[in-house]
Amino acid sequence: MTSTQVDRRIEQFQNNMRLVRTEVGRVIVGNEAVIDGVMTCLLARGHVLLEGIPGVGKTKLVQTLADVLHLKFSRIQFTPDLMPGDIIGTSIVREDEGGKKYFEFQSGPIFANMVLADEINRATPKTQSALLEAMQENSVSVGKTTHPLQQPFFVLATMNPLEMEGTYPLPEAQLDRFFFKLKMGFPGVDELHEVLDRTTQAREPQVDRVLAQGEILEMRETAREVPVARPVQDYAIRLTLATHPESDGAHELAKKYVRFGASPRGTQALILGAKVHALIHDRVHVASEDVRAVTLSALRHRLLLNFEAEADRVDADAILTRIIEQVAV
Amino acid sequence: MSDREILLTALDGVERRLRVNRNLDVLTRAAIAILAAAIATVLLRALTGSHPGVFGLSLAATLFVLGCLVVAGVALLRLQARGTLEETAAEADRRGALHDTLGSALWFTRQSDTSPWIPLLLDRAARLAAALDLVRLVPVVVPRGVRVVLLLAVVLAGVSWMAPKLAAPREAVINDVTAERPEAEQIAALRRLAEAAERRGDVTARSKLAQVLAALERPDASPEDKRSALDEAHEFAEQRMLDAATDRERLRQIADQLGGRAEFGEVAQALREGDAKGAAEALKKFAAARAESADAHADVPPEGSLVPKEGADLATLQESLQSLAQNPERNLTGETQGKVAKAVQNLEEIAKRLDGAAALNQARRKLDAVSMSMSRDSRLRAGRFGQQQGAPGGTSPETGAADIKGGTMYRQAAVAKEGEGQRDGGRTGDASGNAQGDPVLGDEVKRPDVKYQLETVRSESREGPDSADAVFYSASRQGEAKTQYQLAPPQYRHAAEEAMSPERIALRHRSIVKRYFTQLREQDGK
Repeated sequence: MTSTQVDRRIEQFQNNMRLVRTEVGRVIVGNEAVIDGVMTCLLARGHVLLEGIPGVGKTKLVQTLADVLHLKFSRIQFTPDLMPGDIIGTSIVREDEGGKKYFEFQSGPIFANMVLADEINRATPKTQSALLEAMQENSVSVGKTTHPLQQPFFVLATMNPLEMEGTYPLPEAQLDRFFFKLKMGFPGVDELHEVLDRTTQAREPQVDRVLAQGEILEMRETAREVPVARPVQDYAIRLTLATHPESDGAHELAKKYVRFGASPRGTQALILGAKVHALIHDRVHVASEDVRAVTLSALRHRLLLNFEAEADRVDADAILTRIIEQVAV
Repeated sequence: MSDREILLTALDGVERRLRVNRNLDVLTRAAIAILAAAIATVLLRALTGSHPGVFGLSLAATLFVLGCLVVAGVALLRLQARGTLEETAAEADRRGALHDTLGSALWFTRQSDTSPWIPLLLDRAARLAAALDLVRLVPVVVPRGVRVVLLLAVVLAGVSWMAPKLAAPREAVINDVTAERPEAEQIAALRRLAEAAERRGDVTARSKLAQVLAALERPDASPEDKRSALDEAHEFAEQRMLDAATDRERLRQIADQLGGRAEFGEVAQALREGDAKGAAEALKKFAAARAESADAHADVPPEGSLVPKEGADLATLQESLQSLAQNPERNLTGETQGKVAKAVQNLEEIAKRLDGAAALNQARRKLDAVSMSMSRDSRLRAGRFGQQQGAPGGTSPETGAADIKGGTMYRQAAVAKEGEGQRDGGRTGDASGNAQGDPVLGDEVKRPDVKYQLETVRSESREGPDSADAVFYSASRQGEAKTQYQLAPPQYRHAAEEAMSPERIALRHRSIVKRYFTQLREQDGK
């Protein structure tokens, strides 16, 4: 591959991103950072955890994205009685023309390119584990047969921070499987006006499918090739280590409020997310600015805070913000 | 020129400009440090004076020079330091908001990465580097510290201007002290006084002063020798002063004995004032006015030839003047003229003695100054110093020790003996402890009718004014009771009622108050 080809691929990448943003923006009002975050996860081969109060458009965003990306989409509403088989599928007994019986695997909703796991914290840990295992392995094992999942396989799990009673919060080890945790905030007045204008008319806006499966895979390849200089990589590592209370480079707030810092998977997420961010911003290399841009999304769910943080009402975002401010490039 | 060379050239230019700014900052900081040290040095010298340091420099100057050397060394090291290319690239990226393009490109130029992305990155970095406006990217900035430098320079100028004024009071103190030192000027003054004593014929005073001068000027004389000579001369001068005071007192007595006679009024007035010379002149006028012939003055020896005679002069003078006063002749006879001449001669001798005493008083002051400086030189403690230099009966301000005959009496001891000559009222006596207390109003307080026993409490300290054992009377537990048991309750009740009485007048004063108002009423009745 020559530099010209690289240049062209970068241009193609940015065009595709622009198209996706434009189409999604026809339905989703605002939340550009969330859209970029979701796209970054998709292109970095990760999965995203969306958090937001009910009604802010989490599900709508995922549905719109699936429509725009021309990907097979499925939605699983997690409930306490949801079983693993309801997600991954089950083998049923069939009878052929000769009367011979055999098992046939009926794939579950997880066999899609884009899976919306709505309110994932309402299902039992057993069911959650089935999904998370599929996210990690990109395949589903039923009986003695392993069924690979079609690529791109992208899970968007939503979590409602309210009504936590009767829910099963994801354990830290499983939270770590998510590439990003994105927060959808409440829209402002202007955005609410726009939402009402779009959704209370006779016809709701429609989106076109602008990105095929192959283009997405090509964009994934492009994102992985972005070079990272050692000083920038070193910066990402220092950011990660700053969250570890026992490390030499630990930040004061981390020492005080963090029980366990971000995992190496978090550092991977920093660099991969930074690569996509660099490409989105027309850079052929990863800058420290790109790392900073994805730090909150990549590390906020990987920090296990202690009781003191809870008592002082200090959240991971506050700690990470201070770390970003104080860790030198 | 390759992308790499373009990049390195641009970074080199950035580094040069960064170094200029860095060096300016280093020089500014060094200037701040040196100016601050200079201010401190000036203040130190002004407040403490110069003390010997190294190589003849004062201590403050030595510290200043050492500080400057340290600052210069650190500044030189920093001036020679060069930033790395990585640091330069990072700084250029930061200043130009280049998103780590130069830093990343520089890093990849040193790697053997064959990714097709690297040439693209280098190409972009080279284009950015070539387009860099170094003057705008790294402008030569006057450090903020320059304001501090200017401020410190102004402060230094001000402090330098103020320093002599700050030092003036201290130098004045030093001059005062040095003025009291036994320097040539004071010794010369003592020598002049000795010569004056010799001219007056006061051989004793001359010899004493000569001894002191010899002791002071002798190179091998120890401070004790000098102090001893000074003490001896001091005592001599004191004795002369006492003699002079006695003479003046006698003159006043003679003046009183003249009985207020008008013809001796001028003579008596001069005698009362202790002016023997004036009295002699007045007496001469008196004699001249009444002289029958100029021969009466033939017996009077010429002025200045008289040698002072101590002791009998005053008696003779008294006798002569009494005789004159008892025989108020209009015209003086030869015998009377002889008495007048004798009296004049005596008065002139007394005048010379008084003049000599006055001169010795001056000498005593000089001796005091010399003695004081010697005491300071010998680093005597303040208390001892006060004992030596304090005037008789005076009190040393530092210790309260007073110089009295027989030794030093401490201030703590200078209280009245409360049980001696003091009844009630509680006023302490004078230093000798013999003062009487205030007169007591009303009836004298009587000792309660109980039996006492004498008790002694041994003092713990063995020295000083508190060393005395305390002796007091206490109620005896043995012996016969003075108050019968049957009388004790009534007496107690009476005492308790008195104590509980709301009247504020003491029991022993009530009769006085009652009598006072009774008398007032009687006067009103009249």
